[in-house]
Amino acid sequence: MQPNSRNPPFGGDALGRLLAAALLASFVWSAPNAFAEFKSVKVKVDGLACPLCAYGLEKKLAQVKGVTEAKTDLKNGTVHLSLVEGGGVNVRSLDKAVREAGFSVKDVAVTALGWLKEENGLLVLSVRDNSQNFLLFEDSAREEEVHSGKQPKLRTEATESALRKLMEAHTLLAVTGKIHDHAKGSAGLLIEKYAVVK
Amino acid sequence: MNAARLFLAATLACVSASAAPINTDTALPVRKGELLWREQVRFLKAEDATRDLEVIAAPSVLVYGFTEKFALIGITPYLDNSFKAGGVERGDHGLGDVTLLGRYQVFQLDRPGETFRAQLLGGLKFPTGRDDESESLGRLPQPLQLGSGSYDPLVGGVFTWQQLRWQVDFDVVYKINTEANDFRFGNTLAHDAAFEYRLLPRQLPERGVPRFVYGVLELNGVWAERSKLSGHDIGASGGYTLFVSPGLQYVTKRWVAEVSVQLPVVQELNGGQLKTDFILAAGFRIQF
Repeated sequence: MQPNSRNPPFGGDALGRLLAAALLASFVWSAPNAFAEFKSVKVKVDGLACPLCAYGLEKKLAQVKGVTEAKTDLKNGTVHLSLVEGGGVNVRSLDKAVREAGFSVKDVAVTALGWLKEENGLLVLSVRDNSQNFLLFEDSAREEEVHSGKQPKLRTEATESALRKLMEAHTLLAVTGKIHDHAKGSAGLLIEKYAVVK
Repeated sequence: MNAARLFLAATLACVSASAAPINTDTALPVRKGELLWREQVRFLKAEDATRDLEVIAAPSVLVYGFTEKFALIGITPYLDNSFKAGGVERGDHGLGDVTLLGRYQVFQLDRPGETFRAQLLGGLKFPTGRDDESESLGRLPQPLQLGSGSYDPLVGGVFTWQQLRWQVDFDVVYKINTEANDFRFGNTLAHDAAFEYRLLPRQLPERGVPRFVYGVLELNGVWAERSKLSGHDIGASGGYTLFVSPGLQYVTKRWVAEVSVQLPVVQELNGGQLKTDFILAAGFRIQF
């Protein structure tokens, strides 16, 4: 998983390149002082099957600190969250809000901005102003290894090497993937793609 | 006249204000801190060659979600009873008995675009409606009074299976009627089953939350044991009625509008009771 031109992190077509350019430009424009630490948050919800139910869910999620608006796509059970500029959102708060609305979180997908650092020997993404670190995984098989208590190999050697270099260079990254909570320590972030911001 | 009481027993089963069918309860969730208001107008007509009964009931329902699993429900009906026989009309109108219910979710299984829920409910009907009204012909018969004068507990259960295209609901509510004014209405068992099918939109859009039009088909049954006057069974009371109830619902994110007609398919009533011709129900519900 290399952030190169043959595998562009935000899509390979012309529109994708345009969006990526616009997004990267906005990151550079606003960095380092004022940018949203989460560029997007999508909450996938199980059990959602009617318009009336969507209203209660949106209202609960919009009450979470850092969230300004919640909009549902009923067909795929996804709620898109708009966030306070420059802010973040706590994963556990999202889970609590969905439960209090009477539904279940399937997963939470984010695009998070941050720097890499080591935490207890593990590579984590440190999200600024948000006090959250995310353990980075590369695929679900490795995630399962972690949960089963085996010694995990979290990423491929190529990705590990690339990320270590980016950490040493203190490079700002945009990482997109699904996050999940852990009882102790940092939440997990399953990497779908990442891009260098600065 | 006991058709009016069977009617009210059935009305109790349609208390839910979330994404429920029209005459059947649902086990779908009420979010924590959510307030729902449901208003319905129900019109019952029952007549034979010499008698004519018309009842308008407008139950106002408020539902509040204390937690995601426990909701408190309050029901206050407005009633207008009119009974004509032998050229004489008797009846009353005003607020009926208030019922308070608690509903607790005991089972939840969520999948993408699908949910299974089961809830238990219990509550008490309070004697808040007038139960000793008289007019020129004397005291109104108890079934025509706005209230029963008694504290009546009720218990029940609700099950719902909902998908994006359709929904099924089942409920059973048993009500234990106690004595007041030397009269005791027979206990009732209301049971309902509903099937809702999304007619519009035929295909869900990828984005957003569209408005739904549901076609609704319900079976609504009420069994009542004989009532007692001074400890003795009243021959012309109690029995079993089963309605088939087609209806339509228009569902948005904030509110629901609905209309249904209930047609009796079984009326096994004791004695010479009036048989119900039909019940019309129309209403709305809104969440805050």
